Amino acid sequence: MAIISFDSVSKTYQGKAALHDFSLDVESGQRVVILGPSGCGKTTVLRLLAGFIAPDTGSISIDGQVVASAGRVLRQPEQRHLGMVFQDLALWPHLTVEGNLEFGLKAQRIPRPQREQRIAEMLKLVQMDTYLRSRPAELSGGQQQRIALARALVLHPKALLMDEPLSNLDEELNQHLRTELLRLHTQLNFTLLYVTHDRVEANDIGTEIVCMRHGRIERSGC
Amino acid sequence: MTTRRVILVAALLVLAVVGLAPILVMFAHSLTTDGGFSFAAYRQLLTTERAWRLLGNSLTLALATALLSTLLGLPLGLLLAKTDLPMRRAFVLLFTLPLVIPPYIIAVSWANLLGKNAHWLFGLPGCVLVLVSTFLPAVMLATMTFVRAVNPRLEEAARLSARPLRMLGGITIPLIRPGVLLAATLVFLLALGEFGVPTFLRYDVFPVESFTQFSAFYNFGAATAAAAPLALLTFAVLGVEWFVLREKTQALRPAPESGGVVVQLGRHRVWLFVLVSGLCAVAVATPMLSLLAQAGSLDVYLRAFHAVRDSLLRSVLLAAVGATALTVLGFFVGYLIHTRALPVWRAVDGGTVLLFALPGTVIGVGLIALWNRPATNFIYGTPLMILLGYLAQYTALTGRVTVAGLTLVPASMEEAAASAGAGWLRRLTWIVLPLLKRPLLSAWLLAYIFCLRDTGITMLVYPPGYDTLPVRIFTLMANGAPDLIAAACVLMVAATVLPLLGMALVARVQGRPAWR
Repeated sequence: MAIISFDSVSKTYQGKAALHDFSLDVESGQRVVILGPSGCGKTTVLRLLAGFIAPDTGSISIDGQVVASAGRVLRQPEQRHLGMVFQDLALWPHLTVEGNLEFGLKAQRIPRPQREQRIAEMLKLVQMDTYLRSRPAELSGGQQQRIALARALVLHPKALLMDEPLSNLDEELNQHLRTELLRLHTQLNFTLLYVTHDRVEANDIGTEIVCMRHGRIERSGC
Repeated sequence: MTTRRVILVAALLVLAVVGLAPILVMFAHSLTTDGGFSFAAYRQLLTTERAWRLLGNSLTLALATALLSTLLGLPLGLLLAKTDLPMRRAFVLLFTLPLVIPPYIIAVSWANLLGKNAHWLFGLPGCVLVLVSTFLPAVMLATMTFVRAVNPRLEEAARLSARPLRMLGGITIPLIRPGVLLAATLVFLLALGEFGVPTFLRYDVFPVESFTQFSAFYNFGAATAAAAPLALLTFAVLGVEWFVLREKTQALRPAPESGGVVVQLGRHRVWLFVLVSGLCAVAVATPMLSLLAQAGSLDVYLRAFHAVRDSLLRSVLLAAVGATALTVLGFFVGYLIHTRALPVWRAVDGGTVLLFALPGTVIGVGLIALWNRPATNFIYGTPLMILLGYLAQYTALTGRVTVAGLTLVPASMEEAAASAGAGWLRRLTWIVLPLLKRPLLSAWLLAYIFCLRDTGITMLVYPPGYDTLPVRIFTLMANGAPDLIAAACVLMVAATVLPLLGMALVARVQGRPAWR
């Protein structure tokens, strides 16, 4: 059974269709990449799935449960158990690395000893365990990427959503972090929905690639 | 020297003459007795028990006002900017109303309303009630502005794991804390320098002392000595604020797109609406309706108009001229700060804020100290003094609006014009100014409102027979008929609000700026 399912979803912004009759199933452990040019609706797919916006028509399911249907958000973002890495990373500048990872765990009422253990394990996994007390502004671009990834994964999400997270990096760092992401996926086996406009990146990361244009799936497996 | 440099230096010189020089001369004056250097005025002031009581009263009033305004203004700003509370736009307009009119009008209306039961109003509680009503919107508007500057992705990242309240408490409020503290500091300083309300409600504070020493006893040394501690205190508070909060507002950047997380209030929507309505009734509706009720019939309005007509026209004229001059000066000051065109840009930014935060009476006393001499009497005896006062105190407002406007205009716009061979003045005239049309209109309006409501400076420097409406009402309060005063207050409110509504209509018709 698909862990994520879009069923004939459409979304319009100010009269302009961002997504039209979009259907997609993502299996558990899959790495699905949505590939397309700017403005094709790929970020809208992630925002609908995360629960930040509601679809105009159609429905979205996570783990077999409908979380949004025409005009309604049935499950709030915090009830969907998804992790997300934003294009600009959105690390909270007033919190330390530890604070960034701890915020979600506290919100989910994870007891303190378990919180500490999960944070330590996750930072070790992304090789950032010596930066516990650092603030985001003190980290390099690549280090910030790792922390954003760790913050999303520390919550043990049902799926990880990534919105062009490597688009602002130089080619060398981009390649390095792609390798890191695949290593983490092998270790943790999470479901990944990854959005990019870069075909090389898509080929590297995806077990399945979905091509989008003008709010529609153009062809699958390109 | 380039044209740009010449014009910006000229703007700085104007600012120095109208703002810095009066304060320096005032300090020098307070340190002079019989032509020689002396601390006598300070010794006399600070060795009396009364002076310390005045200082204590001033600080108590300022602290209580800042604290309560922040405690109410912060949640109110969050409710109006981040939730689906009904009638949010109407609430914003209503709560903002007391900020744009002279605060003593609220005091008059409460005194009218309470009548003989007004004992508690006269003193600290009444002053706090009136000043919190007046300055609460400053914190509310600052909260709303800063909340909208928070990158929505930071909130969305929090919403993936946390409920809206935890997102507000853990992410949004800590991010806007520097901005809210800045607003609270400004409220503290504005309350510290407030002169009209404590005078009417008979609560002795330093600004009243400074005014009384000058106007009642013409003891200029004592007036400047009483003004100096307020200036020093303002300087110290702004210095601490700058030291504590410097660079911290950098996390707040214009959002990549409008919006952000809107908190659905759900079942809390009704009781929160009732609570906000109640606060609005106490802070705004009750005093305003009381004025209307007290003024009563059309006949009273006609008599009031006849009595204050000249002052009203002068007020509107001076406010319009002052706002225009402030918009021009503020544009160049804002441009200088935004582009960092001269090395002193940071000092200019801090200096204009300091002048804005200084009590009006301090600036008034400073202007008198500078201009009241035979060689400059051709200026001192004219309404130009009032305009100089406006320029000294309110340039920060128009400068800041210009900076905010310039932040939204990509630097590449001016650079493209430069690479096409256009000189600075041509770039300014054909590219920058047209793109800043709306911010400059807002700056003009803001300046008009503040010039129109000014009491502290005008009261001290207006030439004989050239009083403005706030000053006229203030003098009427001593011996005028209550219904006449109430009607004059309503006219004052109308003179302030009508242009505001006009501008709002213009803004609605024009829509969004083209480059966004």
